[in-house]
Amino acid sequence: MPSIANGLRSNGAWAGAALVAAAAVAPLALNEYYQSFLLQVFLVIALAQAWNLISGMTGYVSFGHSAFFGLGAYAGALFLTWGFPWWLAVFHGAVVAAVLSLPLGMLTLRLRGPYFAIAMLGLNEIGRIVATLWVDLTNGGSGITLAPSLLPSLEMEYFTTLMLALGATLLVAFIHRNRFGLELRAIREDEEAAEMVGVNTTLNKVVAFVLSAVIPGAVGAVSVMYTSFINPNSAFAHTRNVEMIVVVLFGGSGTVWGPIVGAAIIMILREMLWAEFPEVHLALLGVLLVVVVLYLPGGIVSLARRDRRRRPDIAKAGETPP
Amino acid sequence: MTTPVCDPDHILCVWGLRRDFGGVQALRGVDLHVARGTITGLIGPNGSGKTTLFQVISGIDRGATGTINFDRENILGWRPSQIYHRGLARTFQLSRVFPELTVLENLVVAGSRKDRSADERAFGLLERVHLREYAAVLGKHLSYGQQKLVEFLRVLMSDPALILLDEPAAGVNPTLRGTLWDMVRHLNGLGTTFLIIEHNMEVIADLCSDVHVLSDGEIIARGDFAAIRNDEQVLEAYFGKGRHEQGAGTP
Amino acid sequence: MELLEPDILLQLLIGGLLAGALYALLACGLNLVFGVMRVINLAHAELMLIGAFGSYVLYAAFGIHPLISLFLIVPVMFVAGYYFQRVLIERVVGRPMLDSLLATYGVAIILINIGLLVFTADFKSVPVLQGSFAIGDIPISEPRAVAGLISVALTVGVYLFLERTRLGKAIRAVSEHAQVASICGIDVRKIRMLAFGLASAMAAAAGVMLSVIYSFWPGSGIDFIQKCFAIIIIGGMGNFVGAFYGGVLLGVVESFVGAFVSTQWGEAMAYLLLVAVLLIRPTGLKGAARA
Repeated sequence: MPSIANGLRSNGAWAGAALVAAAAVAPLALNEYYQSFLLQVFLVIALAQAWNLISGMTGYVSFGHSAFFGLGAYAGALFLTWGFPWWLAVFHGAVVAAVLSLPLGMLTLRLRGPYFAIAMLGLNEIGRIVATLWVDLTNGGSGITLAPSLLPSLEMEYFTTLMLALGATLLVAFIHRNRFGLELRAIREDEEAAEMVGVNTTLNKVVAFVLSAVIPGAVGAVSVMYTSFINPNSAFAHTRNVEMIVVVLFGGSGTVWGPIVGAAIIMILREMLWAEFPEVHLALLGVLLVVVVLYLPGGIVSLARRDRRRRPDIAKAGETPP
Repeated sequence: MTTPVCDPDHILCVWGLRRDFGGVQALRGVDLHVARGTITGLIGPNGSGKTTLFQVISGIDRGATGTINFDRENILGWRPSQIYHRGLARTFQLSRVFPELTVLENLVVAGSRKDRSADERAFGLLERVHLREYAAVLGKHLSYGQQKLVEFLRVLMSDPALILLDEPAAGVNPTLRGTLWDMVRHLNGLGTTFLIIEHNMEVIADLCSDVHVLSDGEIIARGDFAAIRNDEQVLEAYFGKGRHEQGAGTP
Repeated sequence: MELLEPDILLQLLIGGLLAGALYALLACGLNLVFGVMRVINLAHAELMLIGAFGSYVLYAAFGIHPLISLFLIVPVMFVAGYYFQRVLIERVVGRPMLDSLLATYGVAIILINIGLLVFTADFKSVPVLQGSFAIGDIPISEPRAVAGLISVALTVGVYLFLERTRLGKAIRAVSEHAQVASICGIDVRKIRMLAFGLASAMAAAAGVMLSVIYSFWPGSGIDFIQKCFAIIIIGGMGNFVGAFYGGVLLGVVESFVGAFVSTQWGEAMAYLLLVAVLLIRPTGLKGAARA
């Protein structure tokens, strides 16, 4: 492997470590407002990396991953009301999302490309409908309000979300470099050809899918503790879907830093310009999505990265595909 | 009806393979045996079902009935990845190199997970075809001929016992073509069996000890090249009834 | 059980057919776009809402009856769709379908949020048509009857256009095989613009009809687009007639389930059908043997 890439990688690792250290000590210096802001950034990063895993790396672009956020949110809220300590409720949020993602994944991963995307979109809506109809469990449309005494402090939430963002990023970084990640990328490139050279595509896809569901599950549970309220619309909101997709595509799909860069830029812009107007924020995300799809498919990261690999002469004389 | 037993000298035995595509019979009861250690050719007019046969044997197409026996095991219904790990590999007619993976990654992903020295194996293979400097190049940046070569190398990573090659030289320039056939001969010398779909009769004549002719979903002739080139049925399949003449335009 | 009275059943059936006609009009438009340019327009339901809100605005601000604004809105949306295709959709034609899905998802988000900014999340409706009339002993809601019949008329009209006129045949030719069509002298780009304009007009018309029977808000589109997907996947992607029957079928199923179980379960039917189809035909669901 070229040493330049190795060098970049270790630089990236140092930069990452520095950021994490800075984030860890930040609460000492920042007031609650900025802590809340960073907390939300961490949540978005965690969600984005999870989406990155299944959509960016494996090529199964999901339009409904917020379904797992919602599942985790409800699980977290319920376990909390049932008397579990908050951190265990978060854990259970992740577990519930993971457990349900297994059959759901086996169902939806049989579909290709746009059909998978649409099916996942439907899954999110089904989640919302189930939450609305299952009144005994979820209190239906009225939602569940969480008593403040059950909730962790802002500091604890801050560090939990930081850990989730870090964990998600490390997971993606780790997978990116190892054999599993290579197989996922091969699946993304050409699933049939990957199967032909010995990659067990079904197993790989399902594992990636479950991993990509665990994180939103945990994030959902933490988020519900942050807002202290949940109802079907907030749990299965499209906002999260759009954010996941746009943050990753804008930042750079399939890369480790892309979601982080994307999340940082978008969240900072949002905070500075239009935090008061969520509709404006979403509309602009929509614009960004269109622009990225049309003009910048590789995301921001692709601008920063110059292709240092040699390009041999293409199409030598006498060589044409039959 | 008892399943016929495959001769231990045959690495691949196919009996009664049928494949229907909603009314179109692509394979009508194909019987085919490939002897171990040979380079066997598979020829036939366009549309005769050659690629379909490969699709079925390699496991991508799971809609066929019949028996496929590879190295003493019945593999009909196996996943393609299972078949690959069992020792049967296959290339495609049009290059299917992974475009966003480097050449090295293209090769390594086709190797065994447990193989610690996968990188060295890959470099060794690239060395053999003078493509070592291209290890870090993305698949999409290779010329078409180089892509086909890399695709060929890819299936060698798992050291298969039988390789199905689907028109491996199509679209490749003469120099690289020569490299390819040299490798086939070399590997065959080391014991690898090949089943090759080709339209170039010179190659078939030169390389293959055994040739099967597939026409309209059935094997209509089998033997060495000299025998089949004068076979009535074969000529008819290629040129139609009554339109052929001895020596003129024969395959 | 009172529900099993023949009169009630008939009422449910007719109600379902009328509602289904609206779905059919919407789904056929989406299908048309897919058939002609292999683009999945996730913003199709928002085009419908433009029609619905247009009807609302024209009524609330100028007192124009929806059936009149139909004649204003539909041509405008046709032209808007025609040019919108050139500006945006054309750029994702020929690219993987996922790109068009993502881009139109972006457009949908933009439209929804502009709608929220302008109209807020309050439900709107245009309650001009009221009351019901009776056929024999069966009461039929007047707004639903009008909306349903107009929807059917429009859908049939488009069908006849596609089947009988030269332009319609050109559109179908491009759906079948764009390359061959262009060799035959058809201006494929123009046809695509036309088809998208037509589909937008159909969606807008469905929206005007919608405004008369249901109340709606900018977020209503999400349910409708899911229903369209369910309809199209069941009826066969690219299959115009299939989408029509699928739409009507969904309407009837919703009607009966809504009555016998609950309205919410009725609403959930589209999703359940989607899941059921996924279970039965998971192989990418190519309708009419085309990808």
